[in-house]
Amino acid sequence: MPRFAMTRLLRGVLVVLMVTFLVVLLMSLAPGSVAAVILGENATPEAIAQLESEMGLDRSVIVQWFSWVGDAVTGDLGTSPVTFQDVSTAIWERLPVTIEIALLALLISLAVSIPLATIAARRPDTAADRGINGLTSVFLSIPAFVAAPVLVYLLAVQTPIFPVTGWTPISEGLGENLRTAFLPALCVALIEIAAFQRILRADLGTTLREDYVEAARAKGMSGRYVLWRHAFRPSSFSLLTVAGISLGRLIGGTIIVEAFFSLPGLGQMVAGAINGRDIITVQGVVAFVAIVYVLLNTLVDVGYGMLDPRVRQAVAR
Amino acid sequence: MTAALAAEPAAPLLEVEHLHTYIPTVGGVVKAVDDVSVAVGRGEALGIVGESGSGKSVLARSIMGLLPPKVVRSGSVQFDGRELLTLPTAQREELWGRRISMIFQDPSRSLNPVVKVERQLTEGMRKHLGVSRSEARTRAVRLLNEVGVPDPERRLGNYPGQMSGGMRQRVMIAVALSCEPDLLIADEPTTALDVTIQRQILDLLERLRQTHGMSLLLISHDLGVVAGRTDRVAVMYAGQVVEAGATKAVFGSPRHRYTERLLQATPSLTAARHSRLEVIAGGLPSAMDPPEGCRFAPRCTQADGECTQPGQRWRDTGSSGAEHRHACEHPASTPAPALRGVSTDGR
Repeated sequence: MPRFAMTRLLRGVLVVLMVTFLVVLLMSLAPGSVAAVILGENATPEAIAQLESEMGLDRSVIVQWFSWVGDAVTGDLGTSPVTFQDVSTAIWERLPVTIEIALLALLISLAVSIPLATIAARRPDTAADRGINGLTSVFLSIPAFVAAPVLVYLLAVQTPIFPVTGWTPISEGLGENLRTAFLPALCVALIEIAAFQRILRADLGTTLREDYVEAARAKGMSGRYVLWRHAFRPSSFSLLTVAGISLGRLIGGTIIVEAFFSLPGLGQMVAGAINGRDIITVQGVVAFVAIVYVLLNTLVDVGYGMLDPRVRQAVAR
Repeated sequence: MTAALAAEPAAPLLEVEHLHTYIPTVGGVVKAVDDVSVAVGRGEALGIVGESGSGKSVLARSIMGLLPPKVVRSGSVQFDGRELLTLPTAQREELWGRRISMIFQDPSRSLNPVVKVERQLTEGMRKHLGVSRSEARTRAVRLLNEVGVPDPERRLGNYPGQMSGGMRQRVMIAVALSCEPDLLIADEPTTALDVTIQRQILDLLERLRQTHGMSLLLISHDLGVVAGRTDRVAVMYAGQVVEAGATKAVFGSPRHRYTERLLQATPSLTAARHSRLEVIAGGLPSAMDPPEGCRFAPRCTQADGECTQPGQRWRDTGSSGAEHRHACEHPASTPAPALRGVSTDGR
């Protein structure tokens, strides 16, 4: 692994530690006691105090954090006091759904936005450019709770290509699985398509005005070749950054879309945990999502280096 | 300089006639090139001089056709008997880099920072000459050797950021020469370089031009750059050519008042110490609404009513057999206050 990837990774570990500390702090600062929630409204103060002591909640925040981190590094994120489920196990059970939706959404977003951005950037201020801009404006302004029923109506009810709701795991067939995953992924992809297209279009527009693009054209290389082989890479930094953040957000769960399509993903799990004041589950998921974010950001940083030799050299120095 | 002048062939390699390049902007139409006629013979070097904003670079790009689609060109650009203005893009791309090459002002900006030298140097050859990857690589090494880049094998694996400005411009020249073009357009090729490097690059260009038998269109605001290394020169002002002819004749006895003032504004080692540098008062006229007649008239001390009559009136003054024409109503008559500090006879 290149050295700069190592430094990024170390920095990432620090960030995760800090986030988990904040989560423990959050739990201790939140009004009410977890023990009180578990025991219900009729519990006596003595019983609550005893349970708190059993759960270690009477210790200082620092000690709790060390204890939580100690468990967490072994993969033990605690047990939900509400569902009595092991939090790590619950996350691992729901993760494939969320990851699949997130990756599929990312794939759709890139597959649609990149061609749209390149078409628009090669024809600045033409009808094509403005039309694509208008289209993505529409995508950007449709919230998921509107997009979901509209897409379901069009693609599941009117023309029944996809199922209305529900989830088929990959283990029961990839085709069926993709059919259930496509509409939710498309719903979350709409906004990403708009964001990606705009960012890439703007950066491509800037790059295409660079002298080296003109120089490459002057060599007789075609406009298409110059766009893909000269302009695309230096234009994709912002896209990479935003795509990384988007993927992190999507893996954190897409509550509305998961709820609409009744998908057993992380978003549903967090929503349920928050409603049930199941702080241990919330904490586990937040820590998990923080790790995912850090990993993705590290990957994005590594990606910068792959895109631009100047970044590699700057880090190596 | 060789005697290319005397043996000028009947049909020049490049013949630009009444070229107009108008650029629509939000503020109005910029008449960047307004009725320009120049020609470059085979094996000849033509210099284009003029101050910044005079339209030199737009002229170069108009000849190439390397302009945004909204830019309007009219007139005629004949290259080896073909009209370039109406040539479809695909056919222009066949000429670019193959028969007409261009090098640019700033080598640190005209090489792609994220693409290795090898691809930037070989992609043109692979497209135009249809050579294999390894053949292109062999040629690339030879080219880098020829333009004086040491250790070419290793340099091919470099990114432009790992090279100095002078080395990058040598790479750009290698790129431009890679397909043995007939015409090289050099737009301020040394402006971004150190003085010592400038000299090396200009010498290199001249040597390559002679060994490859190329024609050269050398654009510079620096009269010294053009003086020693071109056969003919055209002086541009505000989108028009105001004086043109054999470089020695034009710089030796400038007739247009603008050329005269431009030469006087060149710093000189032979002038008395602490003498004030001559400047031309005023600035370039509006490129959207240029003055009628001679565009230099508003800044010219000799101007009168005749100068503001519409249009340019060309006069031939090729007295000693050398080509020399200008569009001045009140031309400088004394032959030779001339180019101080810049020699016209080669170096």
